[in-house]
Amino acid sequence: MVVAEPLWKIRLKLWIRSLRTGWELFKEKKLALLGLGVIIFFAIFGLLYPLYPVIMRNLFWKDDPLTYQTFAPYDPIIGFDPDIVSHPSPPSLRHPLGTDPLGRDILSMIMYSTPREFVLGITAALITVIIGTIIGASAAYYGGVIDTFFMRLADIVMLFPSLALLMVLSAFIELTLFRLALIMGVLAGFGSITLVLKAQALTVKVRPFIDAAKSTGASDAYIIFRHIIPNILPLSFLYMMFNVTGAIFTEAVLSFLGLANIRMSWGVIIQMAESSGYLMGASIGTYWWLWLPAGVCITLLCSSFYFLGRGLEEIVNPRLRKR
Amino acid sequence: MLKFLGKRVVQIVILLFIYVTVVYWLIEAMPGSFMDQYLMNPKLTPEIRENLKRQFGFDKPPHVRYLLYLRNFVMLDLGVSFSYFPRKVTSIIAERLPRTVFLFVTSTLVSYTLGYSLGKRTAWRRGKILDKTVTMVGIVFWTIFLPLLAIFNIWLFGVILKILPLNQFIDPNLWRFAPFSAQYIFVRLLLSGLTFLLVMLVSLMIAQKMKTVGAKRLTIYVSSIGTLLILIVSWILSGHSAYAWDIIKHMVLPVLTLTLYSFAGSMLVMRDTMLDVIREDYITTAKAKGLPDNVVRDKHAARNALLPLVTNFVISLGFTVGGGIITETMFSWPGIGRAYLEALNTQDTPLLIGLLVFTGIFVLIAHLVADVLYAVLDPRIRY
Amino acid sequence: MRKLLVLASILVVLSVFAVTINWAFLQEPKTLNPWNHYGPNATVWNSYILDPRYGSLYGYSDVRFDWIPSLASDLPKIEQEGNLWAYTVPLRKDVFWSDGTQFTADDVVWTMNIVLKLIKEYGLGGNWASMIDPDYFVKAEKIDDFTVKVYFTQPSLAKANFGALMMPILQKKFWEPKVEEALKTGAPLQTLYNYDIEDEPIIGAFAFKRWEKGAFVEVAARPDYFDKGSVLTLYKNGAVQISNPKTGFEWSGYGEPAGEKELELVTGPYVDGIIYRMYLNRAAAITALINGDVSFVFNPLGLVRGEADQLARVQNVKVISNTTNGFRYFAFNLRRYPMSIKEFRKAIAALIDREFLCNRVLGGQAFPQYGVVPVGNAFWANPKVAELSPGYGKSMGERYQLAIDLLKQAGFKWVVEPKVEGNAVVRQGRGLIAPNGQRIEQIEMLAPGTGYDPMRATMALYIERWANEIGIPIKANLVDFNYIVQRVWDEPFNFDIYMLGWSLGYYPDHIADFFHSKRAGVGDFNTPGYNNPEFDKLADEFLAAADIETARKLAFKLQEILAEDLPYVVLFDSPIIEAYRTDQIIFPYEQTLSGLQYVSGVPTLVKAAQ
Repeated sequence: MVVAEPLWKIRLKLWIRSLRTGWELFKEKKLALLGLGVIIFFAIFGLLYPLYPVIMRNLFWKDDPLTYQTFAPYDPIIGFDPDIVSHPSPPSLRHPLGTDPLGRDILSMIMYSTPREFVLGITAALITVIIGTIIGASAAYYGGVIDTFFMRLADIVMLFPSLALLMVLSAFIELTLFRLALIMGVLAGFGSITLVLKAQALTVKVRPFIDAAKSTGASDAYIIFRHIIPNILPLSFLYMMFNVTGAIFTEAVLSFLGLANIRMSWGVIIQMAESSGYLMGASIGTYWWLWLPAGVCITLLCSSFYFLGRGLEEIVNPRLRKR
Repeated sequence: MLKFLGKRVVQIVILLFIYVTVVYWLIEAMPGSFMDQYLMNPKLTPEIRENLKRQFGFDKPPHVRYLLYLRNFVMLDLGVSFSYFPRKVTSIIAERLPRTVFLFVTSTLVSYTLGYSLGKRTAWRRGKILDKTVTMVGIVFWTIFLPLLAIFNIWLFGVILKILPLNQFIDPNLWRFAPFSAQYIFVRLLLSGLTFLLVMLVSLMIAQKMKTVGAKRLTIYVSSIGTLLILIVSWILSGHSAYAWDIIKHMVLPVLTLTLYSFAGSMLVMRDTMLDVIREDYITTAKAKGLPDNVVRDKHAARNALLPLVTNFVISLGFTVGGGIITETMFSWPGIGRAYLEALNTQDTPLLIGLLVFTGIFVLIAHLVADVLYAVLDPRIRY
Repeated sequence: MRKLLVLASILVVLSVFAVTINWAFLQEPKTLNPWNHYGPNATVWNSYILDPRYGSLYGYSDVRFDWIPSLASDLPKIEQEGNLWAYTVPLRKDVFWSDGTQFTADDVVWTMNIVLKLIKEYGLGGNWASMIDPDYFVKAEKIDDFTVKVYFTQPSLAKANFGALMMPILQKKFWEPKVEEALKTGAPLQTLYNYDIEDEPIIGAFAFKRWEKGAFVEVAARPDYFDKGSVLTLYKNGAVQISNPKTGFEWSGYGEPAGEKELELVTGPYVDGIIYRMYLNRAAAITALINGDVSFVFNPLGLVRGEADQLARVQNVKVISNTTNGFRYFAFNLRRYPMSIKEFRKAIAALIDREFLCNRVLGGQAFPQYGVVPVGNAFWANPKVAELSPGYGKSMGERYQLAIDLLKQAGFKWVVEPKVEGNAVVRQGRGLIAPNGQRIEQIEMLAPGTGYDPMRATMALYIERWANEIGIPIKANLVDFNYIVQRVWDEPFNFDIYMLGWSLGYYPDHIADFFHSKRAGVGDFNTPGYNNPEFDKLADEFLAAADIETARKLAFKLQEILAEDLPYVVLFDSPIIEAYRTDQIIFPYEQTLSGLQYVSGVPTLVKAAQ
């Protein structure tokens, strides 16, 4: 029988079909769906950021454009609202989430940071996974010295005082979230993820089709990139989700401890609350808007990526599916 | 196996040297140096600062200092700390180690036990309410911002409910007249804990050899309760029990916070492996045999799912030596984690390297033990 | 049996009235060994416990910081002897160490001479070397048991009165053998630093009892403290009187001890002991204060706004505020162009509306500072300095215009000249061209990041914006403190503008030290590279002044010159806010420069509340 359709069309159809089955399975997991929903919400939320000051200006500052221009009350870094007597002020119409001790609008700070947090998390995770996958596959395939080298390297990296490295770097280059993501991504890429992916790659390596490919004269690179890696890609993709969580969280902790000089992020919002002394005792309740929104955002985004990962895990690893 | 161990040990030693070098030069690369704090004192002229520099060895160029440090390191001398001059680094580590180890080992144990127990139960009842709620709660706590959780717990238990002490690891009012220092009690507590664990291990091994279920149960219960009683009585008799209890009381809140925060990790690992194991034929056989649900779950499924959990646990233990910066800060528990942060902030190179190397050795050994355990427990894996 | 009961009941009664107060520390002291603390390992936490242990020949009075005799019995007599200057100091005869030995000239002479020897021959550094300056201090001589002559190469308020004559005196009997022993070892200084101080005899009122590492330090009051019951009276006319009714010692100076009294204090100790508890984070210490676990929290930087707000609402906790002896500033690099142009510096200074930043943006957490002597140091601060600052009292629009005019005056030009209307810049300036025709691309301002100091970071960002509005291309680079140190001191002088702060001592010799041209070398204080011969001449006279009035006049003149030339632009400082529990302790006074923590919480004057 002659197959009438071109190969690429068949591949596309198969791919779409597997996507659809995956989606069916995915839809069943309520938690994962919830996670996806939250992520989409945050994405839209972050994209809407430029509109926010425009809306607020037209609503509240129509009759006082000069003050607005001089003080830029919705600027997330050096904004200041001079019309309010004492900062931090509780949520009000003009400032839906209130203001922080320096007079900046909290909602604009959160919205400003959202796309940056996304970039941070996804960039770091992507880099980690790309590096980890290549290393894991190579280590599994080549074995021997290369394997040992990368495993010991992973040991060093796991022990590595990444805190120290980040402090060193933040001292002389201005760490934007993007640069921080690059560094965190590279560091993590050589770390424990290589162990996991190598273990998985090992199970692929021993499959007969690898031997078959070798005997037909396929080069090492070809085997690694066209056979081994595509088979561990689902696991990589999965771990990417968990790494996003880790990256966002690490940045928040670094900012909270005051170790990285990031101008604005969710962690910086909480750090400002703490260093101004509003995070203790009864103040926790009274000044809730200083930490709760940022904390909730961190938790929600991190956990939703995690739920997404869990949901994907059950699709990717057929043995975990419900029978 | 021996060859494998031998190779690994050699690798560990080489790793340590590379590690020390990398860390040393990393700290050197950090802008400024330990001497900077003297700049902020308007009374110290440059001449005085030069004198101080000489004292700390900064008059020599960096590579000379590095070689000197390495020479001392080989002879197991970790040098003298800058910020605690002239105390030796080893004495600082020795002072902080028992506090850290006691707190973090306990919380790792509790967290993993909770994770194990919840993990096997949720895997068994997959998809039901328990599974979903526990997973969601666990993950939320996993991703919650730890400092906030700590603050909240302190506030809830210390301020509102007033049932747990607020901070620090001892109550000064009690300890003012104590004829010994807290170190003494910490070390003794650690020894007690160790004794208990050893006895449990031995009794488990003996129980294995027993023939009947009844005898097995008896051995385990008798040995555990018996050892516990003996330990408590000996503490009371020694008259130091009030102090030990004080320390334990202060530990409750940090352990609680850490457990809440991290139980999801071990729970999910356990759950996943269990789900794998549950598919195996022998589980179906056991159920078909009519064995009670609990027995199948605990004796057959959970036991076989233990492997990844145990290896994770061993590696976590390796990391407990490093303490946790956030926990120690929020709960005023001055341990190794805090020492690390302070050394980093003041650029106290000897102390920093000493701490990192110390933690590093433990983690590397833990990693090695985990690998060995893996091979021992899973006959399919061979080195 | 009966005796036992009596004894027991006495103990019970005593314990009821035996009050030990609890104070909170935010960090553990590094050392309680005086050689180490006044040497390389000085931290403010050590000093809180150590400073009250030792006495010195002269000291500061409470609140007014008058220079008064402490272990001396009168002000020194200064006369020239050959090419040296001798300060004759009579000593009090009623001072005893805690082991019962009497304090004599032997202790003074031994301490001063051995410190000099350790500095010159063994390299002892740190604060010891600033108290005994080998360039000024020659030797100390015993005339008789209660008279000492201290020799200097020249009279100097800074090096003698406020230097060697205010250093802590250690007991010869206890330390001499130990020092001899240490000198015989291979590492004498290290051995000295390692000595255990548990049995050290002291002059202060509180004896060391216990240091539980990581948890607390306990000190216990000495019932046989020599100065117990002594009365210090400060008169409104400036006079000071000290009298110890028990021993009969009397001294008065600086005027007639008559008329209206400003302050009268009777020395205790009034409490039986103090426990200094270690808390590793501020929230913990404050919560302890709220809960009543401690009565006072030591904090060299003071409380932050949120903490102060919360404490203000707690019953029985009183929040107090004091001015500080320090300032935060930014410095120009006068070695670089165009920072070397005076009008350029004045223009930037004109833009800074300190009142707006401190009162509105920082919500009153900071107060403006204009001169290099903090306003809190009332005796030495020149009140005219504020008016001399460009733009003082002007509105934002006037400031913009003033800055533009100053730049034009110096010959600056723009590609697009800024235009000011009312209080805003309606046309932003662009493309600043210096008088020599060079285009100014960027001026870098190194400032601490928000994690280290949000106030300075905020100021830097506002200054950046204001400057950019009129075309001065300042870019604020928020970096680590260490990085600033590296660029400025190590590289060296690789900066355009940097922003830092100073915490100062009472006697303002820093006015000269920071700006004298001979201090412009690498690693030295004069980082801007300020070089003004007229200033140098006056600064030398100031440092060599032998009486306070002359010194003060010179100090005023120096401040005026600096306000004109602006190598530093002093910005602000924050008041130090402290809090204590009124239901547990009573402080004899609350207003004092840099707060109660600056005087270690006055342990001999603090009383327990009933």
